[in-house]
Amino acid sequence: MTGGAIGAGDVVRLAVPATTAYVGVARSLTAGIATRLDLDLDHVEDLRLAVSEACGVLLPDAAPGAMLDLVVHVTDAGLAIEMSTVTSGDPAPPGPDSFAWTVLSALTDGVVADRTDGRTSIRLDFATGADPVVPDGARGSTGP
Amino acid sequence: MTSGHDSDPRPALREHSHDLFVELVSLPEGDPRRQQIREALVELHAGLAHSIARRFSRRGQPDDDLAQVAMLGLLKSIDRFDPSRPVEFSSFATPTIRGEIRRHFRDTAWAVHVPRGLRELAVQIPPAVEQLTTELGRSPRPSEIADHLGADRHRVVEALEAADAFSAVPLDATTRDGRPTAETVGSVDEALERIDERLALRPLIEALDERERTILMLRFFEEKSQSQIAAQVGISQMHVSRLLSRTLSQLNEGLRAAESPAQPPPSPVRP
Repeated sequence: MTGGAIGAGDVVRLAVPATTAYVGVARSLTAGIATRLDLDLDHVEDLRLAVSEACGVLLPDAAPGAMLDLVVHVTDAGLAIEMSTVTSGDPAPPGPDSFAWTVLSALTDGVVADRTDGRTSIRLDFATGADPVVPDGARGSTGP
Repeated sequence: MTSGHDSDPRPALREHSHDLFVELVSLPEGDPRRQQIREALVELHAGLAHSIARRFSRRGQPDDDLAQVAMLGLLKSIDRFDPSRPVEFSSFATPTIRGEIRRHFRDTAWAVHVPRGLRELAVQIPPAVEQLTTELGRSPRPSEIADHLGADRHRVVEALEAADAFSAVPLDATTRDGRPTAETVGSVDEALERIDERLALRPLIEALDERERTILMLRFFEEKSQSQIAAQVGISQMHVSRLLSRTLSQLNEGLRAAESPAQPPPSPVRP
């Protein structure tokens, strides 16, 4: 490998206005990192979809003028992506029986949603292991 | 030295051109003389095609390509021109040639933005991905594509991103081998059984077209990979991804609309 490479321990942060106009930027950033981490193409596309879906959960409840914070942690296991924003009203974070959760857990290797101190956050885990088959841990029960 | 008159487009040429067109339309299809006349007309009017092409050449398109496209427009014009009508050939051909160039720009829009070397690599990637997917039984990693093509991995990453920026795949592209196999997909009701929003979701999913519904079911309820779905439905993995993306945003929009059917009027500000 030439020059510096993306490696475990790296943290990438992006803060953009919490509006749909920036979903594409969030998608491109995460896909760019995943491609450079040599994830296979299915996983890169899944990741793109998952970031959109998480935005779809977070943005409608974002407080006016709020920022969407996206933090990508590169770990030994793969990627952990935390997305969060200040939410207005008192929206419940998506539960394991919601459609969004079904989608997110099909696309990732782990989903955690949380709401504390007026902030809603979603954490998505992606494994970069050699075997792209998704392990059973950390996900809701699934199909037949 | 005499100065040229732009307003006087060489009457001899115009006359010669007119004679050729009159002869061309008089000849039956398949007459070998037709080809000779067409070639003579192309030569005669090549200057027109070139001057139109030049006007577009500052858009970053290599002049060679543009000149060829303009010549194609010229040929079309020659074949369609009717010399019995009181219209100059140049007035008739100019919009046709321009139209041909515009279509070329539209069809190859990405060529304007992507450097040539990357473009050449980018076109090699889809067949490589297809072959590797078959060999590996899953979609390849960028490093595997690079090894397969003997290319630098970083260049492959750039080419993948360039190809993604250019969403060339029309979403209604036809499938490679007929219809999606809906029979293999479990019923919508079964899939939605555990989902909170099932009442709102069911009509939204039923409103999808059959292929979109099949892809949605396979990916999210049967957990097939995008490559597996691509193989099953007969479209590319990139196409699966785009369809999923569109379907998801459609469903989410529908769900949101169902959540807040009628917004209450804003309450007056309390003192």
